Amino acid sequence: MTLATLETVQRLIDQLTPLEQVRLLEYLTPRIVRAVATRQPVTDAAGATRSEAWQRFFQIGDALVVSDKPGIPTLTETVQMMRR
Amino acid sequence: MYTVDTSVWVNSFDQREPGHAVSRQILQHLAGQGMPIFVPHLVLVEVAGAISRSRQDVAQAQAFATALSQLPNVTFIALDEPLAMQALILAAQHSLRGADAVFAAVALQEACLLISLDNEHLTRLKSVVTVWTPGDALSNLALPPET
Repeated sequence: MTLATLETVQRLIDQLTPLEQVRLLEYLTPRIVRAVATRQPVTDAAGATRSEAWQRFFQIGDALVVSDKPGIPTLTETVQMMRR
Repeated sequence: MYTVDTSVWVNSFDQREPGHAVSRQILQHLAGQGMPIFVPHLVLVEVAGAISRSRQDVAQAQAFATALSQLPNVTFIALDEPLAMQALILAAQHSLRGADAVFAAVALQEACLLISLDNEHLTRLKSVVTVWTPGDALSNLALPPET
């Protein structure tokens, strides 16, 4: 979001009634909570767990190369075919 | 915050595909930074289906989707009624396919930037959400390309 857009939004919020501002807060709070909850620093224990989870994910993904066979559609091609 | 389309998740792991290294680099960046990622549950279904259909390997398909489901900075969004209505509107207004509309609706609802290799996302949604290819993300996040 650009600074100009943010300022526009702030001006719009200033036009809301107090009750409407409360409703806006109710709308925003769960999103903020989720964003904060999912963004912890990597240095703590949770970060280590996160790093391990991603390592495991990349290992499993990298193992897919073993089943690569000539002639079979690539994974992205397969997703596109599934969506047709 | 980001929504990562199924096309990017799988592209990262298919070395036969162009751009796989870039997709991989973006995922590694999002992982390393702990960036919040919001995706529909549908992503799990699609990755499992794509692996199973292309490789006929049930175990690999389930293992990959399960590992994806356990990534801590990835939040899975349920297709509840409000999200379904949003997807419906996007599908109608932009002639989207169902899965494309669901990913776009998640990006819109969660105020995320959508990273996708899906041509429908890249061509039909410019006025709705910001859509980047992994290459765009690499440039815009000022990440040096891996050699």
